[in-house]
Amino acid sequence: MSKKPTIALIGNPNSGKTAVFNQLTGLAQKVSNYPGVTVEKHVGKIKISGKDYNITDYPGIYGIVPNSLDEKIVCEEILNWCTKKDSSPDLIVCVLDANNISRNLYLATQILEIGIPTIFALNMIDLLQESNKNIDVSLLKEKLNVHDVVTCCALNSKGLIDLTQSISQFFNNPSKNRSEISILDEKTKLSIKELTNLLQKKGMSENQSQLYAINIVSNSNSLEIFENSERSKIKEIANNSILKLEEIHSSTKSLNSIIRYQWLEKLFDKYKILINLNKTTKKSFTEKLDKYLTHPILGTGIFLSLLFTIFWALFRFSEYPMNLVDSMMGALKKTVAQIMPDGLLEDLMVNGILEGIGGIVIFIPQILILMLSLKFLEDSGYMARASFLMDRFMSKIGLNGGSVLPLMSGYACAIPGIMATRTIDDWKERLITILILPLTSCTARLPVYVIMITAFVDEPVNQTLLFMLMYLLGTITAIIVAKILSIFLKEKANPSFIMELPSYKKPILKTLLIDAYSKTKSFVVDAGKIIFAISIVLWVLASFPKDVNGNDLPIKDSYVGFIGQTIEPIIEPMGFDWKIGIGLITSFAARETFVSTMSTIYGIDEEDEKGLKENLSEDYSLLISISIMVFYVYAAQCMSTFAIVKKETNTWKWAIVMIIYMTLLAYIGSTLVFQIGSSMGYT
Amino acid sequence: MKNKKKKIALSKLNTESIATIENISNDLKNKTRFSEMGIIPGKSLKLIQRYSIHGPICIKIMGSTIMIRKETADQIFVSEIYDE
Repeated sequence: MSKKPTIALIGNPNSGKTAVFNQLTGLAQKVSNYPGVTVEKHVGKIKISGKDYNITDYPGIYGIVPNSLDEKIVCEEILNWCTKKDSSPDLIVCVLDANNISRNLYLATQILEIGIPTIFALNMIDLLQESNKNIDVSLLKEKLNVHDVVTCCALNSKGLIDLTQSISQFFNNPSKNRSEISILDEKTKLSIKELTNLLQKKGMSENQSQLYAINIVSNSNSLEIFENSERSKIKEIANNSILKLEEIHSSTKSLNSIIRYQWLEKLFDKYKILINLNKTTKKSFTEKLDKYLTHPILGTGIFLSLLFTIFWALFRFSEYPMNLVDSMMGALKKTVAQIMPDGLLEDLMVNGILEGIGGIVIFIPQILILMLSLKFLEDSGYMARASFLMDRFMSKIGLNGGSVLPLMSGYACAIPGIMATRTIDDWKERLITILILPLTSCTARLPVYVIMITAFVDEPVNQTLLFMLMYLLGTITAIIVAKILSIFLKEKANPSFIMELPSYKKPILKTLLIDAYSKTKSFVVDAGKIIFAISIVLWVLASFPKDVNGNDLPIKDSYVGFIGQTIEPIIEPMGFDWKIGIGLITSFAARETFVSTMSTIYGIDEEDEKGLKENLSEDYSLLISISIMVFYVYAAQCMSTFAIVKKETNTWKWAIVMIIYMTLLAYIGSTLVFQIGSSMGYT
Repeated sequence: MKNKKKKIALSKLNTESIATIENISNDLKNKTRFSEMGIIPGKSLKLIQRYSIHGPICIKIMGSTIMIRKETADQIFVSEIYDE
């Protein structure tokens, strides 16, 4: 057998599926995107007793009918397994939250009906046992005819021993025994006969066709996963079946859920699958904690203090590593300059390439801290509480609580934030979130704020205030723009927002680190490539042309100086000169290039090693520095964001709309600041 | 003994009260997601938190906590269960 056996990991959101995946694979995983969309595909390798397996972690779903973009990807894939047999995995591991077994079985029993060998992994069994309850594993296995049911605890790798053993046993001794169950009664089966026949012609087994048929008559969303050409035919026959079904059921709406939940309830009534040793019902830890954390006043207070703490930590703890990185890069540059012979190549290496790399790695500490904190909030279950607390406010600006997490991620980087919006079911809310997200001040703006503030303001209190003012300006503008967009966008809104608040869990350090590592890596690689390329281009533009003897000309006479001087009349109303103009041009690729551009400009221009801050404070005023910062709050200066908006919205239209409105805001904002400021006498 | 009160909208239910879902308005959008979560007639739920009079509520149903908006809760009808 040359092909590695494949395993698919399926489960409800919050079932701990990703934790299981991370414990199984560790760093032996690859994150890629599904073709054409930015839904992440996690594929990993595991080795059990010497044998290699490929394992895919699919986004969490509640059923096989899609409600959002990432659910659609999984649902389409599952449909493929049914109609194209060779695409199906060898084994499905279905992860279930043991504490919420009947709800999780809603999906799990549908997976069983597909007929691919399945192992149930009852996750977080330790929590269930702590509350004096248990699940009769062998009874569950027998009654549902599952290939195997194991308990696991993804908090540590030891908790997965039963699962890995079961996987290895399955592949050593593959059973042909397909775990098929059927929940429909004969009358219902007869009513949907015409539809099941049609689906069987598409390659489905009898059981699969019944599963899909009952889903199709229950909700119209199910049709979305079928090919366009097939839909009208399926719909026509489904309508016939609906008429027949209405003779025996009061309504076909949500019929699948009603039948399935009744079936599960009977199963649990008849057999003691869930064992409860408690005499009285006790409130769970989550319920007790939620009394405070979701309290409208107390909870909001806690949420705001948490936000404050994260941002404080972001500045406090990144200072030392950032200085370290900075001095290391400085030392590296010096060493390279000493080793390499003087000349063009040395100049390119030190002032072009190393300068560019330095501009990328300097962000690693901050991105790591923010990604770790956000992931901690998400994995602990707290993020959903924040969404609950913020929903009332968010609904007023046409969004829902689900937009809070993507928007907060935007303070780190707009790219993961925009990617996180795919969990928002409603298209209009998703679009608004995407369009306002680049207004939240990402870490790339931070170096600009830092250099501008520290160069012109000495008092620490005033520095902090100015910092907060910039963040506030972006945030308030985002709120106003969201409100305006929600009024003017013609897309249809869906008011029935629903969200699960998962039980509180202790986040797993390994998962946090893997996530922070992969996000930071994607920043360094993706954004880094652009910044790196720009740095070299800039070096060329700033170092050429040379004079007749091959010596450097003053930067004013270089190519970049020429470009800067050409746009000077346009940027003059904002108080900017040609040097800042060069910085703005290079920033249109990525904001953080501004600082390295300015140092390159001064670095090449002047022989003596003056700090950038001293140079800036000599050349400009506080008013200009504020004008620059306001420009950076608003301007759409990130190629990567532009690219990701195009990718997520599937059209250039929204990416262009975003650039236009943000550039206008920036130009008008900065001009107002400078003109009003100068007329008041601040120069 | 357990008794049932008359039918009310879920949004009118008091905090800490337990009720059974009687019916759900056909106007409710996104019904699939609600039914997947177990919000279907016959299931019982507990209202555990209310943000404000017009704000969202948290209910406990089938072992999980779910947040829904007031506008949605207006479309779900329940009958309160209380112990005598």
